[in-house]
Amino acid sequence: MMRQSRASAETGAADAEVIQLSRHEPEAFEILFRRHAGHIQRYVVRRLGPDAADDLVAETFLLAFRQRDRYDLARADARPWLYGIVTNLIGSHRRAEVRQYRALARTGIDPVTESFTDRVDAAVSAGATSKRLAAALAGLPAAHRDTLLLIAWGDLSYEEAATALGVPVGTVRSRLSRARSRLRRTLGDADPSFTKENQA
Amino acid sequence: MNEMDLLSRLRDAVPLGVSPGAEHLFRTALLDSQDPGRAAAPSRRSRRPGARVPGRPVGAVSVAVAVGAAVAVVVQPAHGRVPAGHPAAPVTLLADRAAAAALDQPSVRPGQWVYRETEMSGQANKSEKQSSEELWSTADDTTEASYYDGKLGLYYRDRDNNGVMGPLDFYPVPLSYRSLGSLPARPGALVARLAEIGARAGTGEPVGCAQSTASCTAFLAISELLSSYVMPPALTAELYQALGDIPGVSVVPGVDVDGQACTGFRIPLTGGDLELIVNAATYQYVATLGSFPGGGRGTVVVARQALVSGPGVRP
Repeated sequence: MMRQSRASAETGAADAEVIQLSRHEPEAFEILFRRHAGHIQRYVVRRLGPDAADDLVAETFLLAFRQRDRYDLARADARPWLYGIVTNLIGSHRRAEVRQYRALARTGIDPVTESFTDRVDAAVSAGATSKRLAAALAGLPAAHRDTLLLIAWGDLSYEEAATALGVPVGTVRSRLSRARSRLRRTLGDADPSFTKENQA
Repeated sequence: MNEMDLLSRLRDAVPLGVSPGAEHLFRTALLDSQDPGRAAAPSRRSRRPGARVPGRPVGAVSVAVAVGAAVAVVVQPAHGRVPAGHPAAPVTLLADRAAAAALDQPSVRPGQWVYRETEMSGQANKSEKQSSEELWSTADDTTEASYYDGKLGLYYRDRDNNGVMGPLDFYPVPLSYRSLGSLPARPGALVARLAEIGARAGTGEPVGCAQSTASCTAFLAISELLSSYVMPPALTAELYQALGDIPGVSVVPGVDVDGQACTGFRIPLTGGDLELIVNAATYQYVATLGSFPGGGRGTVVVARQALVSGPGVRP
């Protein structure tokens, strides 16, 4: 009976149903891990680099497992919950994150992707725009950066980002607007393809 | 392409998927949590030497090393140490010579365009990357230009920050050009002030600083200023003299950087060092080189620098 439930959960059940099942059958929580760990890992790698990722991903899902009894089963999609946990964990690594963005801004060499590719030209072609983008990310207030990246890198909606951060949707909109505005100014007044010819 | 598209592109450079290491750690921890009597999980954290506070994921230090290596700079394969043919000069003598040479340089107005060709390399996580860039900036670094997709783009620094590194600064220069005049002239006071500014700006100290944090922070701050601005000669001279006043700084006796005979200033790290390299004849800034604990290295070499008439104009 329980095995049938797991099989069903594996194929089509909403995250909330999987979490509910895991309250009685802890091993079912692995379904949630298989569904979302890849995206959470990419998010952490992009923000902190590969060295910190394994530990943080494991810690995120372990914390989620321990808190599963408190999960609001009315929320079918667990992504905002998981991204909220991992965002809190990333909070203790702010300095490492900012150093990483500054490294990219300073040298044009992306310390995150360099372990995934040997193509020097990839780093070079990232060029001035990526460098400025990284510098702008490093300079954003932490709350604004979290909001921006949950949406841009976590693919969360405004409402989901609000849930993840535990703030009203209006706050998400406001933070996102300010963060994007700063990025646009850094990139050359809203248009990365802004050119001298355009200026004339 | 707007800023959100650019962010997506940055993210998509990272492969999607969970690593075997993360999966193993999670499954082990899950088993432990279901069996309180089980021995502590053989996590990576507990296996690593020098494991830190429980509950704090490992990785921060190694990330910082990698970043430090990428940020800080250095030695291209073609560069090599010059066989020591003469003893190294005392650091104060080198500082005095560099200061004197700086005073001989003409003053440059803040809006003067400067062309720089910079070569960068970084080694971390067993991979080495090299890149180079052409950049035009005004001497005060408030306006910058570079080619992107074959087009010349102009970019402007945020002018709102009042001296200390602002949120939109492109580079971690610890002090704005406008605020340079506020620096004290006396070397000891200048070092203390730069250490304070560097710490407040969050540029941080290099990983493994063997001396005091203040020494490393001041050393890095001077490196950033010399590599970012064409400063008034008197201030450049004061910065060089300050280098000679930082505890622990010694002379790099001889190094070949891009075919130039160079010397420089070195501050030790635990398991590495940072070097600010100057041309041995002109004493002008050439490079910052860093080697870090764990084998990370980084290099930024100013291969060519010249005053030009405007953005996009090559010397």
